[in-house]
Amino acid sequence: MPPKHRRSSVGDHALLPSPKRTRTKHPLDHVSSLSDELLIRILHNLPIQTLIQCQRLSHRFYTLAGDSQIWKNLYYNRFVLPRALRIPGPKTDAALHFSSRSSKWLDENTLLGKKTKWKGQYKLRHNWSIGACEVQEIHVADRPSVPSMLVKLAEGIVLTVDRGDGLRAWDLKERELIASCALEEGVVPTCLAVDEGIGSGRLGIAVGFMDGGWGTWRLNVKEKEFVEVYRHPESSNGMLSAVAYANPYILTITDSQLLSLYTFTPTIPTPSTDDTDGYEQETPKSKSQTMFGILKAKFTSSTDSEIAPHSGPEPHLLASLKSHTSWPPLSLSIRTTTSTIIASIAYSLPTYYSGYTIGLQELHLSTTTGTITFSRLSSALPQGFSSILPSPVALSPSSGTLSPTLRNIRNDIGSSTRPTTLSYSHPYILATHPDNTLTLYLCTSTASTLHISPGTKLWGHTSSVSSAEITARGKAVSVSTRGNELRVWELEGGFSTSTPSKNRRLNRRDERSVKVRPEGKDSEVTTVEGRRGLLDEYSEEVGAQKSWVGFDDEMVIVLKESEQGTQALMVYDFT
Amino acid sequence: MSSTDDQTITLVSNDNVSIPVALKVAERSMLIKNMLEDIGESAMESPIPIPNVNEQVLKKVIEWCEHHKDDPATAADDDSDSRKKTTDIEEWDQKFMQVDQEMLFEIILASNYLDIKPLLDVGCKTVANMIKGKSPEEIRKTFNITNDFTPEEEEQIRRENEWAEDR
Repeated sequence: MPPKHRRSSVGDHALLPSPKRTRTKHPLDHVSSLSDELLIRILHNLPIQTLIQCQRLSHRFYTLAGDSQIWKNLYYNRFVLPRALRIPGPKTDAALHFSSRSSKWLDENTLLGKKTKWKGQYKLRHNWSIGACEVQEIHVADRPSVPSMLVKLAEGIVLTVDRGDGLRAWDLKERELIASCALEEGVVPTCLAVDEGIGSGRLGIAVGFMDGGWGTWRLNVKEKEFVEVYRHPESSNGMLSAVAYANPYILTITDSQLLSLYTFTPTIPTPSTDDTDGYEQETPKSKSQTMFGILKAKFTSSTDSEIAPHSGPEPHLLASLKSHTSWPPLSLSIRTTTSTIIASIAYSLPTYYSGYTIGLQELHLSTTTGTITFSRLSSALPQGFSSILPSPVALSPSSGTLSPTLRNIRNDIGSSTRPTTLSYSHPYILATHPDNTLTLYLCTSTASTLHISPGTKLWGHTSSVSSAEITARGKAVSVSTRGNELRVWELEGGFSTSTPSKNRRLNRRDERSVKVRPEGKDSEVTTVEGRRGLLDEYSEEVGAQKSWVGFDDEMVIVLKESEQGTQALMVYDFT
Repeated sequence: MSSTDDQTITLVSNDNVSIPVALKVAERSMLIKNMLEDIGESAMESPIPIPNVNEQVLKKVIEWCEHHKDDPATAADDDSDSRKKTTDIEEWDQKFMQVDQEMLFEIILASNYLDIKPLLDVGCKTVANMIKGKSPEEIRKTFNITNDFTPEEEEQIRRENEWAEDR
């Protein structure tokens, strides 16, 4: 039987141009007389190690053993099924056996339907799971910048902004600068946010400045250009310390904890309906609480209308809130549902007994009217905390009433040191600490409640953790200030409400991280926890500071500042 | 025993040999089962030609169906991917599959044509077991597969797959 047409489902076989099929079939080669379909059926039974040996047999076997259906099945069994089993719900045997039609792919549905190269996807996930990657550096600056360069990663593009070089965009695949845009003389960027939701091939960028001003730009990836969209003038409210951008909304917070939410949509701001005075709300009766009380419309921007460098839509202030008891680091975020925009501030807050814990405030806005429907906050209880006062879980601007709810007192595993950074990607908050640990919090946000679980300590780093990022799926990457220590975490699930023995819990957590092992470097550490390896790293990387980390599906980016002051982006490529 | 158990039909191999088979045994083949359902009782009197299978192979296949005639019917296998990923083969089947390669692949082709999924699976697993754990050169030798790669090409593929080697 002649073979059917060659399958082209495997991408990398393009490496090998298929020769003219001069069928030099051995007379006793019975296996080659089977159809592609039957051979694939046979190959389905093989483990990966044998499968890759089969790819070396001949051109035909190369294509067949790289068949996407086989690798999709392998991918499902290794990466999707374990998650499906973890997630509670009724399970039948049948539902869990792989079937391209009926299997649950959870949120990996995005991979389906498209012409996914499953072998490539498998390799990517495999490399993440063992921390295998290639490292390259992109040199970005010859001298240190103060404050340090700000970096964000979105859709394969790295955005950097600093005082000297302005706003720049780097293509990660090509490892090259694609666009740059100078800032005005003298302005110092202090925070950066990227919005990926403004259309394909475009990124929305918001930069906040030392002088309290901010601006938005658009990066047209194909045209390789930045377009300034709006520039907000400086403000007497002080330096902006964080910004979040989800077009048309901008959320900023100043150094002195003044939070402002702007929108570019031309709705008329309705007068705030709150009958309580924001300042009064800000003096919490309970010392353990922090809250951003809603200020009255007096902050509604008089400055907004004064200067507009572009004729585009001008933003107006939707809300302004002020806090006296929140501390940096902060993480701002905006997420939208069909009917609601939720602007959130995750912040650290000091407690009187045991150092720091974290708090979260949410502002809910109606998408139709653009006004705040309510605001509420919650905080994670620190270790040893015993509440003698009711904890407010919901704060409604219309009534100003505190809903008294007594929470269960649960022991936190000592989140006592002040976090160095916070990464909030609903429902996870990940805090990094100088004491080599991270703390993970799980937020529950429903229509009626907002709750943060007590923190879970994550061990694994052997030096101070300087930055971490977490995604909504619970995958996180963390980096140590010094040394070549980068860890990948799979943190999804495992938040059982029962209280398992702490040791068991820790052990399980520990297994969730893997140290990234860059290939082709002398300092490569093959043992995951080896102390000797660590010393080697120090000798090589001494003086290099890693201060920021971000990642996407394929790569991790770390901002590294060497002793000499040069700055580089380390690109850890897992493909 | 009910009357249907005694019923026999006649299959005719492509080398024109008539083989009487109990209906229950023949119905392990979904092809024959569906055909009989479509045509109805009347078809059972006339011999059924099996054009793709010779006498030797057909007898071997019938031998397997005879042994497995009382197996519980496999759940409607909606999807060819739902096979369990195991190369465990029950003992009788292992012995049954101790045949030369030509016969082995003929059985696979016949079970595929006749739509006898469990037999096809046993055949595929048997071949998979012959491949498992072997080096490319050993696999080629086992199956007389001609290597149409240059050494450079083969090395390139080896490097491309290096990531999967150690686990």
